[in-house]
Amino acid sequence: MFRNTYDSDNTVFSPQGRLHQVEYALEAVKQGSAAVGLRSKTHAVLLALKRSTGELASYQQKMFRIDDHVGIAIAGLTSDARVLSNFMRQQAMSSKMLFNRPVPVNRLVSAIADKAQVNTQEYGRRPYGVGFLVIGQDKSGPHLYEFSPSGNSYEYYAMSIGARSQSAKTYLEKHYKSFEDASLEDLVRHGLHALRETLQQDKELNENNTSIGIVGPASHFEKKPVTGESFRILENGSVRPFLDTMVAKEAADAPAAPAPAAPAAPAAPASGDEDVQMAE
Amino acid sequence: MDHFPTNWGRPRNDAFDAYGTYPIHQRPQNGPKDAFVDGVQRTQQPIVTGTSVLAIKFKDGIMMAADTLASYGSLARFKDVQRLFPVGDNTVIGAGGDMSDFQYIQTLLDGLTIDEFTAQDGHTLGPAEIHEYLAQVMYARRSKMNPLWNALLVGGVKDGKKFLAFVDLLGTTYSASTLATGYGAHIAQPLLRKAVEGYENVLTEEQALKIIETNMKVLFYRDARSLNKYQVAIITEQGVRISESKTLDTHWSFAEGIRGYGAQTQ
Amino acid sequence: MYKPAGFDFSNELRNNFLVEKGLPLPKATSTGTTIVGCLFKDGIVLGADTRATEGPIVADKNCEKIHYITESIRCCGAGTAADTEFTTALISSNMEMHALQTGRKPRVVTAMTMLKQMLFRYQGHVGAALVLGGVDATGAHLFTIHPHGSTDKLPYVTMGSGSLAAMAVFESGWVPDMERDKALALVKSAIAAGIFNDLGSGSNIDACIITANSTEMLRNVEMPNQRVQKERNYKFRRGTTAWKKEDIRSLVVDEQVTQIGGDEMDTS
Repeated sequence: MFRNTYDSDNTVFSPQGRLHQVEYALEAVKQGSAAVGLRSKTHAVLLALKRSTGELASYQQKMFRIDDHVGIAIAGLTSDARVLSNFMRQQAMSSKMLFNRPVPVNRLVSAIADKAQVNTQEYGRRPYGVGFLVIGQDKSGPHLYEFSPSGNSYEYYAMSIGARSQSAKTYLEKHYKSFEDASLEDLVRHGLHALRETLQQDKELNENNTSIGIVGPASHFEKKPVTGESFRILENGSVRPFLDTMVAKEAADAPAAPAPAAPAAPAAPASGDEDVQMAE
Repeated sequence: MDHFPTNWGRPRNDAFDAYGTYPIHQRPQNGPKDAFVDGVQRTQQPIVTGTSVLAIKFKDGIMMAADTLASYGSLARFKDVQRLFPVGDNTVIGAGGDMSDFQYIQTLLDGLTIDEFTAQDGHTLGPAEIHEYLAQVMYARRSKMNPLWNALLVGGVKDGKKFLAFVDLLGTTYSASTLATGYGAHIAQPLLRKAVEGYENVLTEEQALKIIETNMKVLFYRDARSLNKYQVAIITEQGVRISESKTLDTHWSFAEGIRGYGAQTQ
Repeated sequence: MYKPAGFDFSNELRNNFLVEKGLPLPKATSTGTTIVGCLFKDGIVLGADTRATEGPIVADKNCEKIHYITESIRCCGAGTAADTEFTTALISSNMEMHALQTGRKPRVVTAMTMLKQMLFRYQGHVGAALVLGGVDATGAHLFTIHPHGSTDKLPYVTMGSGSLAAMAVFESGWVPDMERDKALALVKSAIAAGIFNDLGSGSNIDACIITANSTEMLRNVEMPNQRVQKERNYKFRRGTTAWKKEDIRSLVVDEQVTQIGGDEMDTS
C-alpha cells in the first residue's frame, strides 16, 4: 500500500530506502524463462529454456554472441536485450580495433552495468527490463557474470535467472563444488539438471526448447568444427547428445529435498501465459 | 524537426542552423567575419624535431636507442631531451619527428596507463595493444589531414613474447627484428640487418649494446642533425630500463694526410 | 656548320610540345647504383654493383660500372649511364693522348681535372657522379667527382643511391693501412649493403684493385643473386602441337668446292 505512492518515479526513494521502479524492473526479469550459467576451470556454459507462444510458433531466441570470446543469455524484455547486446558488441569491437585485444569480460560487464545504472538515477528514464548471464573467456580464464537492471553485476561460479530460477539455484548450490574440475559434458549435464528444475509439471527439456552456449575447448559431442575456444550456441539437433546424458530426476535428486523453496505455483492458468506469475 | 513554434507553418530556412549542427567555421551565419576560423590550419610542418630512433631484438628482449637532441631546423637547440618513453611496465616508445606532437602522444598514453591502473583487474596493456592504439590514432589524424608528425617505434616484452613495431605520421605500420626511423633507415638499417638477422635469440645484452653503439656512432658521423649523446632502453621480461646519457667516442683524423680537394699538394 | 660549345637545347621546345600533347618522355637509363672506393696499404680498391635501371625496371642485370681510364687509373660511374660511359671514354682517350704528348705516365689528378672541368662546363646537365681512383708516380689517390664539377679527396668514398648503406659499412669498418684482403672484404661488404638495402642497386659485385705494380679487374667477384633452379620443367611435351604431314629436305642439294688461290688477302 505504501509502496504505491513512491513507486511511479524512478528518482524517488521509498521511506524504507528502496527504489521500487528498479525492483519492478527486476520483476520483469523474472517474467522471462529461465537461464542457467556455470563455469569450470576450462569452460563456461549457458543453458536457456526457450518459450514459444503456441504449437505453430517458433521458440524465442535466448542466447546471443557478443564476440568470439563472449556470449550472453537473456531473461526479460527482448527489445531491451537487443539494445544492450548491441552496445556490448560495439564495446567488444572497439577494444579489438583500438588495442587489438579481445575485451576483458569484467570490463565489458562493468560497461553495461554502468550504463544501466544511469537509467536508475535519471528522471524520465526507465531501468532496462532485462537481465543477462554473461560468459566469456579472457587472459584470466573462463568467467560467468550476472547483470541485472539495477546496475549490479557479480561474478559467479554458477547462477540462474528468470522464471522459477530459485529451483535451479537450489540444485546449483548443492552441486557447485564439483563444477571446478568437471569436464564439459558433466558441466552441461549439471546445467541441464538445474534447468530442468525450473520446468513446470509435464514439461520436459527437448531439442526445441533448450539452447546451450559454450565457451572453451570443443566437446566430442559437438559435430560442428569449433575455431579455438570461441563462443558457440548449440540448438535443435546439436543439443541431443547432451540431453541424452541427463539422468532421470529421482536418481539425480538423491541427496535433494523434493522441490522445496519453489513458489507454490497456484494454478489459475490464464489462456496462454501459463508460466507467468506476478509476485506479491 | 523544428521545435521552435515561431517557425511552424513557415517555409524552412536552412540558412539558420538552429541546433548548431555545422562545425564553427562552416555555420551559415559565420561568414568571413570570423577571420581566425578561416585561418585554421591543419596539415603542418614539424618545428622542433628529433632524428633517428633504432631498435633491435636480442636474446632477452628489445633494445632501443635514440640521441638526446631536439633540433630547431639546423640549430641544435635542446641537447638533453629524452626521446624514449616508457608505458606501463613492459613497453617503450621511441619517437622521431615533431617533439610537441610526441609530448601530446605521451599525455594520451599516460591517460591510457592511468585508466588501466584504476581498473585494477589484472589486465594490462602490453606493447602490441599500445602499438595498435597508436596506429589507429596516427591513421585517424592523417585521415583528417592533421597528422601527428612523428615516426614511432614501439618495443616491449609481455608474457615472454618480444614485440617490436613501427608506426608513422601516415599510419604505416610494420614489424621486423631490426627497425630504424629517419636517417637511421638508410644508414643504420643495413648494419643492423647484417648484425641481427638470424641471431635474435642469440645476441647477449653486451653484444646488442655494442651493435647499438656502433650504429649511433655512424649516425653521428653521417647525419647532420644528430648528436653524440644518446640513451638506450632495454626491455626484458623483468621490466624496462632506460639508461643515463652515454657519450660517443669519435675519431676525426681519417684524412690527416690529405690536402685540398684535388690537385693541391701543400 | 658552326656548332657552339656546350649542349644544344634546340629540341627542348619540340620535347615540351610533345609532352603537353601526351607523349611520355623516355626515362633515361640510370645506374641507380652503389659505387665505392677505398685506400689501403698498397693502393686503391674500387667496387661497384651491376644493376642498371630504367625508372622502376632493371634494364641491365650485369652492366660494368668500373670504367677504364688508363692502365693504373679506373673510374666508377653513377648517374645517367650514357653520361658516365661517354664521359669516361672521352677522358680515357684524352689521357692516352696526353701521356704520349708529355712522355710521362698518366696521373690521377690529370684525369680528375679533365673530368671536373668538363662537368662544370655542362653545369650539371651531364649526370655523371664518379669515383676516380688510381696509382701513379706520386702515389695512390682517390677522388669523388659530382655532376656539377666539385671534387673531394678522401681515403674512402661512396656514391649513388646506395651510398648511405655503403658508407655505413665504411664508417664502421675502415682503418688506415689495411691489408689487401681486408680492404677487398670491406669493399665487397659495402657493395653488398647497397645491393641488399637499396632498390636502385642489385645483382653482382665488381671490384678493381690498383697497386703500383698491377691493376686487377675482378669482374663479378661475387654473385650473391644467382637465379635458383626452376622448380618445375616448363618445356612443352613433344606432340603438344598436332601435325598432319612431315617433310624433311636437305638444304644442300649439290656441293662443289673449288680452291681459288690461298688464304692471303688479294693485294697488288
